[in-house]
Amino acid sequence: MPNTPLLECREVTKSFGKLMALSDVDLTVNEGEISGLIGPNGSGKTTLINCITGFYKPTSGKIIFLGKDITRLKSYIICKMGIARTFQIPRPFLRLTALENAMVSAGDDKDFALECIERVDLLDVKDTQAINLTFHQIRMLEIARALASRPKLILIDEAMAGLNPVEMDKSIKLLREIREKGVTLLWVEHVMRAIMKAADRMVVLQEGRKIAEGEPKQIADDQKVIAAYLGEKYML
Amino acid sequence: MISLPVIVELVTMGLVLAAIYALMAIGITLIYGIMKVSNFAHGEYYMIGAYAAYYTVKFLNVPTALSIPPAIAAGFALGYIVERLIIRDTYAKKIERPGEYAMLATLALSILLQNIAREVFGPFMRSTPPLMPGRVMLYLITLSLDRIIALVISIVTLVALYYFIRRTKTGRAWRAVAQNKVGALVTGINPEKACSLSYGIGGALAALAGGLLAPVYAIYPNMGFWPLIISFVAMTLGGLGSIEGSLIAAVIIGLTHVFAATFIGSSYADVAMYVVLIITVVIRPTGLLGRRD
Amino acid sequence: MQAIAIVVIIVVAVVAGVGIYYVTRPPPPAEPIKIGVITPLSAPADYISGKLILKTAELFVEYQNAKGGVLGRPLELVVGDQTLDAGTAISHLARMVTEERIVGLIGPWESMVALPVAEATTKYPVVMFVTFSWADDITAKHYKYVFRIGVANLLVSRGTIEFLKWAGYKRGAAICEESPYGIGMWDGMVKWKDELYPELELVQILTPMGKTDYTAELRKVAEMSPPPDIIIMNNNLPHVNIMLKQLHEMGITPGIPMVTSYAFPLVDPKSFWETVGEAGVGLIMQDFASPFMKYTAAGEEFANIWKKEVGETPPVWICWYWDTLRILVKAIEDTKSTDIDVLSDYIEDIQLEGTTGFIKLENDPTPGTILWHQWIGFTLYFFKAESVGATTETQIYPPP
Repeated sequence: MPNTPLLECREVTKSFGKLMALSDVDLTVNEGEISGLIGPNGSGKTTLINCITGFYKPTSGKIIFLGKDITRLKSYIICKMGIARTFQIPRPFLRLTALENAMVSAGDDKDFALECIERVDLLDVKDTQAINLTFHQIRMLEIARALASRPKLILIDEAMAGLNPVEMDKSIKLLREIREKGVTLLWVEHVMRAIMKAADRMVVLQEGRKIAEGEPKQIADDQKVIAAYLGEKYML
Repeated sequence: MISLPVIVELVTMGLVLAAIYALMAIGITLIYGIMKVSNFAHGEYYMIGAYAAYYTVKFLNVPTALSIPPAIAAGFALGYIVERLIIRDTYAKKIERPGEYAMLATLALSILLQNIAREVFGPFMRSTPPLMPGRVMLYLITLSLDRIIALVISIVTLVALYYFIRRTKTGRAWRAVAQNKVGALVTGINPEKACSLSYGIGGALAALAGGLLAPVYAIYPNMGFWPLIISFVAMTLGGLGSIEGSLIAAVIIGLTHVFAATFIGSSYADVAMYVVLIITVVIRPTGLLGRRD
Repeated sequence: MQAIAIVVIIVVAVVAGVGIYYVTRPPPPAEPIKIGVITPLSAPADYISGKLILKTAELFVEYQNAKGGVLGRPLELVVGDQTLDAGTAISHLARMVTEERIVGLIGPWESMVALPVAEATTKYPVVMFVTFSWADDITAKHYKYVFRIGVANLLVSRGTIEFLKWAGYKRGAAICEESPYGIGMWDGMVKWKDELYPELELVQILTPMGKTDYTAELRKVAEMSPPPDIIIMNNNLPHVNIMLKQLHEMGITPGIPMVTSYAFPLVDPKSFWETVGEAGVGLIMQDFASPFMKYTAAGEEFANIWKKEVGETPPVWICWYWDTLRILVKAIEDTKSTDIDVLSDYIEDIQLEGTTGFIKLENDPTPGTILWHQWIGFTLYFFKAESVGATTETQIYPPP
């Protein structure tokens, strides 16, 4: 395991006018990890993901990926460098088939796209248009599409909401398999049960600031974290 | 009056018109689908194609057939430049309602280009010599070989375009941008490049139509007005953003024009086209193959 | 005491200075006499002709101002683009009459615009001239301020029927544009046919203006059974060029001869023959001047001015626009007035050597006759285009 982190956020700050969505957030993701990112509503989790993937430009701070400064790069270039992401509300290409969705990322490599479809267990609907898939299938398609771009790091934005326990377990298993194959994951999640089981390390945000970081067991006992979530019904 | 030869004649005439309408309509639909911009300058690319063909023949003294590639190139070049310089800014710089700004920009461009053309090229009509002299006899009438060539080239172009959009990597990327721009961003597609290229191709298609028809009709600065109307009607009838739809719509419009002009009266040819449009939109507001995304 | 003296000196100096200034400053320039030009300058109207009309007016203003203007005042043009819309033209008229206070107006061009504007002069008075707006009603409605130094449907269609009778054609397909000019020509032809040549059969095919593809309409000529032996084109530029081309493309001509109601190759021979090409060979066309006809002295003078500027001989209706401007200027000079009523009354009885012949107006007050404020001193000639590039070299009727 190499010593330089795969992804590093250094003092990332993002303000929208007077609203400070992120303040001096430091975050490190090491290769081969499943890194968790949690926090109550409005804590800035998705904002951070958007900053990393080039949808927002941070007001200040740096984002380094594979030793290169990607802070001001455009989204599609960041993707080509090896960062993929899924969206909270999935954004599939509705009129393309599942396979074609994967091929958008994979380029002309149809076989690899097929492989990615197979890994998320969508092989039997590969020729169905995305608009005709179930919600869970679309979630899986998001992951297949991300995999098909041969990323080193996938940012997963809330993959568990709206899934029943069976689907949830399938998804966690899939994320572990992805990690086995050498892809690092930075996973934003609201559903505690899932992320506590799967993550190696976790970072907690509240109102744009990092308030805790460590292994899931430590986080579960951390008073600051508990206090942040007070009033939010989550079983830890 | 209504006999098989007459029907064959009229259908052929309608399809010959439809092929050119299709080139124009697909160009404007492509631009709308990918960029969500209503290209009001579309008729001027048709005009530029025709003038490019004309001046190629005039100054380089080549047969008309060799004037078609420069026409296509002129349409593509102008489209690409217009997109980079004018339209790009409307969506790259976080303007509210970028589609409307871009639409107004193309409208202004249309007026500007028509006036420049009138001043620079002069108001008089021009024409290029035939692509291939000769005629094809069809019962009562003959159609010039040029029209048949225009029909064939249009079909070939449309087939090539279809293959490009459906089967190639770039075509898929363009469809991705059209269907979900944000999703396209995270799959490594540069939407700005997709927009410039697709706008250029849209302009090139219109310019191809202009170059092919320069020997058949006549060339004058405002010649793009009517093709623009047809393009919008076809795009709306076929369903905004649906390329297959605009192709079917072009065929419907071509046939409607010919049949209405023959059996009802020529002034009613256009009225008939609008009636078909209105009825379709009332029954199916998204157009024939359009969808509510 | 000294202070008062200084103040008095300053005041006197200022008053003297102002006085000297007012006495010695140059006189203000004479207020110009304004002439309106409402003409087509953009599609879908016939802007090709419109630009030539504007040029004529500009040349006239230059010419007259070089002679010292009119009554010592310079002429000035006020220009409006009528497009192909009566509403636009009338709003130009309203503005020109109320704000710019024009004394004379030339144009509009197409009858469908000229006629409503003629009607509007009852509300916005100005001395209005048309030359080539053929709708009969422009003079048949007996408007007070409207004068036609040119042709009308009823006058031209008579010549057409006379020619068809002389040439022996028996069955004509008349392709008429849907406008006062096209339909007026048809009505005129029917009237004169009944009176002068009842054996002639005429079939009407209506065509909309400004379309690009007329194959569906022209097909009706091919469909006619028995087929016609002459096609009469009552259509204007620019679509008439396309129709000629498509008749040839469809194989209908040159098997059947065509006659157009005006010699369109004259407007711009290069552009006509480039667009129409082979299809125009054998075309029979009408004009109101003949190369064998002599210009008057005034005509020579104008033809030279036009040739120097444009490089070609002027079409006859351009010469007539020059005449209308000369009429206006003569009326102003003779009456020493720019009052519209005074001028109109004077112009009714005006006599002037025009560019192509002597100009004197008919003023029959019988309601409905077109011979009101109408000049009829022109002759109809028919020419044939024997080859590509021809204009009016070959006259066929009246037989030279």
